Amino acid sequence: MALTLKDIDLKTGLPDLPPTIPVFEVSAPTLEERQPGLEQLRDHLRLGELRSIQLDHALIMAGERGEIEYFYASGGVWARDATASREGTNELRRWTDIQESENGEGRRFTLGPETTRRLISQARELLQGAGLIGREIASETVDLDQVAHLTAKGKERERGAGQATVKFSYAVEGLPVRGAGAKTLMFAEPENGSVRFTGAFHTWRILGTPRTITMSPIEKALEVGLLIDPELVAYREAGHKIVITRLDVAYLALPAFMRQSHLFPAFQVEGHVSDGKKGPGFRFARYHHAAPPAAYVAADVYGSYLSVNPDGIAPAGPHRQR
Amino acid sequence: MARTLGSWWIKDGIDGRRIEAQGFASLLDGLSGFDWTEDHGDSDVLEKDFVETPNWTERVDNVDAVMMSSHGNPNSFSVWNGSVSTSDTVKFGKSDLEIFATHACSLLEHTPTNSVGRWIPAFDRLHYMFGFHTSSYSGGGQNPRGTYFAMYAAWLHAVLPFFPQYTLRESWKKANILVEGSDVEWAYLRCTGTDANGNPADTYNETLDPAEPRDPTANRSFWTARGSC
Repeated sequence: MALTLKDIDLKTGLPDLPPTIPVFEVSAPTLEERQPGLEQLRDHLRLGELRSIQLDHALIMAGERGEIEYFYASGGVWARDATASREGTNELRRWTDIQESENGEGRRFTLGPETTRRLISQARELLQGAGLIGREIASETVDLDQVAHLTAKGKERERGAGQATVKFSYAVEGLPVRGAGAKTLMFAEPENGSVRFTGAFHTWRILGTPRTITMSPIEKALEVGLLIDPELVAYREAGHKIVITRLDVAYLALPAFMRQSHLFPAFQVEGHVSDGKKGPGFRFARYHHAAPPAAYVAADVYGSYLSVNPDGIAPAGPHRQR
Repeated sequence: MARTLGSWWIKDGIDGRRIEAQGFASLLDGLSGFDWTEDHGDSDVLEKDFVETPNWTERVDNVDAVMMSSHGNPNSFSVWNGSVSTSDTVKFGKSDLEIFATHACSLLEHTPTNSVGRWIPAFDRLHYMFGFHTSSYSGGGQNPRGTYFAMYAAWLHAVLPFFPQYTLRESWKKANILVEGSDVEWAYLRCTGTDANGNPADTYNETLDPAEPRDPTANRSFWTARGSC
């Protein structure tokens, strides 16, 4: 039996859902359109001569110094200077402008503001020149891999930062775009007091015409996916407590290797299930639809991932959009 | 002798978890030098597969590399009949296991008050434990996580020798960047050192190959890293 909001301990407020939301057609840039950018990346990363091979998910262009991967489904691009990973003896990197901060959730190393600004600016210039960044950028940050070296007894011997990732994230019509298919990343390593880019990943489909879908009130919208989540239903029926700590409304961009023809709204959910009859407690994180299949049909929008599917938002043969 | 692979999964109504674990083993099973020999789902995922149990060979240690899809929290991961926690006696690698990869949420969380060092006692001859510092997602395209982990760790290089092989740590990072949103943090804990004869058994650049690597059993220390997807 479906859950109701009374079955859930909501530690975050219910999000506001507008009465209508535009659903955008999206398209994947073709290989031909990507080609000039791929060549720029190849030259910048000094990958040299590359040999091509078509696999099911991507065209791979590889050589001894690295590779570029073009994902057919999304026009996404991954590039890597493989020589960078062969250097060094461990994960720690010697950044010159680094700071450590601590909040309630832990410690984190970050680059200083000046280095951060410079790195973002360099990455943006390179990506724009290669046509590998979307117009709908919402934020730009630099994250450092967090590294610690422990003794055999678990005592921290050393901690610091590793590779840097310049991250660009996206938003459309005031809603964040979440999921694996909405990011532009550049990977960087410190080198002789400067920075060397060692790779990139860009996955962002081109936005086209919007169609408007009608949204239900939030309580009804949650019935489309979250409140019928088969796992949460089973644990609740067994007496476990379901706690939701994050409930965001966002557009969902599917991974680079998946076909997606519309950018659609979804709930991004995190929480935990308490200990109980079915076993020990655990944390969970899910994406769920925010609009029912019928809302898409009414707007003449179709897609296999718009069906109701117990697995979440993913195409599945037997599940029809109705 | 071939490297052997295992998949353990608990669907709990979500078939993507089976696909995620089996994807890792099934892709590699097609390569010479790898054999998928253990596959256990739902009620066949038992605590005694992982926890030292008298008169029983833990099935997880019949293989070299495991991909597991079940729930977790910083101190335990779920099995059908309970959980495997840091307070259990776990000896991964006692016989064979070198790589344990799991989708379990937050299993490798590392904070000042709860160090990921809590999992060190589970390393017998284990090389790598792969997981997450944060929660990991289901339901938005994460099902091929195991397939892509296997693809970059071994498969691509095996079928295209000119493709530069990813290290294990890089392939876990890439697979998760491909399937997760950027607010998720991948993580791993690895053991490094020497073998019993004092030969280097440095796991930093370890790759997944048909040949058995040296096990870090002496002069051990541990590295943990995490980053955003």
